[in-house]
Amino acid sequence: MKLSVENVSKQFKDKLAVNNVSFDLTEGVYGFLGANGAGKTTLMRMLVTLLKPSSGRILFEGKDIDVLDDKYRDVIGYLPQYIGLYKNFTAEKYLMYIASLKGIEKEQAKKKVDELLEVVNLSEHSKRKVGKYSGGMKQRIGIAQALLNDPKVLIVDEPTSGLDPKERIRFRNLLSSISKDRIVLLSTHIVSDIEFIAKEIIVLKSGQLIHKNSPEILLEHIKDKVWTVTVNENEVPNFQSVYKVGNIVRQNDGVGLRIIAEEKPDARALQAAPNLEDLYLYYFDQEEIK
Amino acid sequence: MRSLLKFELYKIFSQKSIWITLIIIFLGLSAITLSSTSTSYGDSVEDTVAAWDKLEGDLSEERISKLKDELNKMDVENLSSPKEKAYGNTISNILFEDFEYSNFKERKAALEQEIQSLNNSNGTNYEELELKLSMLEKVDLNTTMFNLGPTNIIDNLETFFVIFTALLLIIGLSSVFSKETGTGMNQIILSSTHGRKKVTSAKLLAAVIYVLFIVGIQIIYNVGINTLLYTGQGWDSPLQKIMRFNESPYAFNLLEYFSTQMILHTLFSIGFAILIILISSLSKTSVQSIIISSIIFVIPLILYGFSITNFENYIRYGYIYLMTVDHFFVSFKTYNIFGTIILEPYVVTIVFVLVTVIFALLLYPIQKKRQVS
Ligand SMILES: Nc1ncnc2c1ncn2[C@@H]1O[C@H](COP(=O)(O)OP(=O)(O)O)[C@@H](O)[C@H]1O
Ligand SMILES: [Mg+2]
Repeated sequence: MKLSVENVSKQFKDKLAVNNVSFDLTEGVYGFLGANGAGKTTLMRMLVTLLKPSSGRILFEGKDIDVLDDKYRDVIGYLPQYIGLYKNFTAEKYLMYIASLKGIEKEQAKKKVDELLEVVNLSEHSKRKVGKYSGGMKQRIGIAQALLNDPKVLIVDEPTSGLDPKERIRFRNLLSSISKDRIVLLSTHIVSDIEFIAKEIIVLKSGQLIHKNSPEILLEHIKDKVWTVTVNENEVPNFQSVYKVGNIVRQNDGVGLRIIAEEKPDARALQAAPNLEDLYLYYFDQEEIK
Repeated sequence: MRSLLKFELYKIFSQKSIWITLIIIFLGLSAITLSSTSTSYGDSVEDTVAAWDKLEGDLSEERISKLKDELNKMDVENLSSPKEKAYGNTISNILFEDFEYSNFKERKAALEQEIQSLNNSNGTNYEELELKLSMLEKVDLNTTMFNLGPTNIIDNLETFFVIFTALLLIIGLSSVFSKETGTGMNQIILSSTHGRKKVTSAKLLAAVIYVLFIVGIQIIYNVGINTLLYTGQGWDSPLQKIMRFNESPYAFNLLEYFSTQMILHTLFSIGFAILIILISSLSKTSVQSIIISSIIFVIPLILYGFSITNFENYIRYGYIYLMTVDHFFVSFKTYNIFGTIILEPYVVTIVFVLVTVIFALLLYPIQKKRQVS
């Protein structure tokens, strides 16, 4: 299975949101990293036919998705960044509605809805109106609707925002368990969401693709750029103004800083093994981290 | 498709606003209807019906002169009982019908003469007059009976139900597409298998069913309450017995006309419903689509009300007048289509159906090309 993005750009009135991006996706989980406004949502919307590229094209199994039309939409599942709901629908009714949009037969839809309500842990609340749901519950029902048709291509836009840490772990496990023979593209701000499950990470910056590689290879790029140093509390602002500072931990002998820098930032600094959070910091400014 | 239709119906019918509007309409209407259940002469229905039981029949010369005598003998100023009053008023009514009947005969005779003077010239004007005459020949006004029930029922479309239908359609259907934009559901609908084509068909079908429901309950209410109050008599009466139809060339009795009126009202209402949906699909918010649909509906009324243009031009084809139906049957009007004379109601219906089909079909490319913003 292959989903190819070929020289895709999207121009809004005065804003080039996605700038000549090309990549291929095959079975597995892809992490989509980028700061706010990088163009993740715009690109994902093009991948689910909600937006048409201003130039370039998107191919599924070698065929233009615009031509495949409903045949392509039949194989995708999509969780928007801000999910749409009908407030006066119960969770069950809402999912049955999406199931009929996806052309799933009634009997099968019922089974699937029950099953997915179980998966996202909402069975007890299935008869409640979704308007009364909390943010996390809305997000979970959003995940359930995306999975209704067993999509071959699953595109989820910041799916873990609004989930608590326990739900986030559940979701991560769910994704890795279903990703075997599907293409899963997941955008996020939270690096730990994809740290261990992503086959590849796609880094988008100001609408441009700057990296697409396995986490290991990406980390290789920054392997000698991560430092830890223990400093006095009053030195911290100094370091923050000069370097990209990640984790800050209070220790009994001062304050431990994690610093991303090309050169050794301080005589006391020690090199550390990079992780994805460092990678994110390396590419994006500190204030953009959530 | 069936389940999609079910959900679209649910979305329309679960709007509280339509039920509140319906309740207000029927309470208000009942109050108005029940507040004056007398005839235009002020007699009670019971007394009038009793009078008609004795007086219904034809309009032959001898019967009319007998009734005239009877009325002259009555001391109209000092009729003692309401029953007698009703009896006298019913005779006056019949005499007036006779007067209208003579006018009708005169107009017909004048028409015959005009045709003769044209002397078989083959112009379209001649054909047109021939057609009119042949229609008038089928009209038989030589009969009179109590027909207040059916008359009220037919009048109520123009007086109340056109506005009510339009109101309920605008309230119920303006958000059919715009709501999906507003709630963000578009993102899920438009990226789903059937979210562009079949959903559009389901929404169209749901709108048609909603129209049938709206018109249906109005018919039930209208026929129900007027039959209760004014008995079910008079459906055999010719259409021309209703004052504003006195010059109509159409040989309908009231039952036939009411059926025609309701079928056309339903058809034109479906057309308006589809227009509302089209506007909804082009609007960003439901409020915007409500405003635009309302303006389109009332503009002909405003133009006409302020005499900005003549009713005979264009305005009569505005949705409000199409849905009122009656204007197309009060007089004789034809179109010459490639040399063939065709009656206005046929032309209007055919053109309208075509326009409506085009509007409905427009929805498909709009939905196919739609992007979220
Ligand atoms: N419909 C739109 N019209 C105009 N500009 C838009 C529209 N959608 C997104 N943008 C702009 O495109 C850029 C990318 O946005 P987005 O794809 O939402 O980024 P991300 O999801 O990575 O935060 C932003 O600058 C945003 O303001
Ligand atoms: Mg986004």
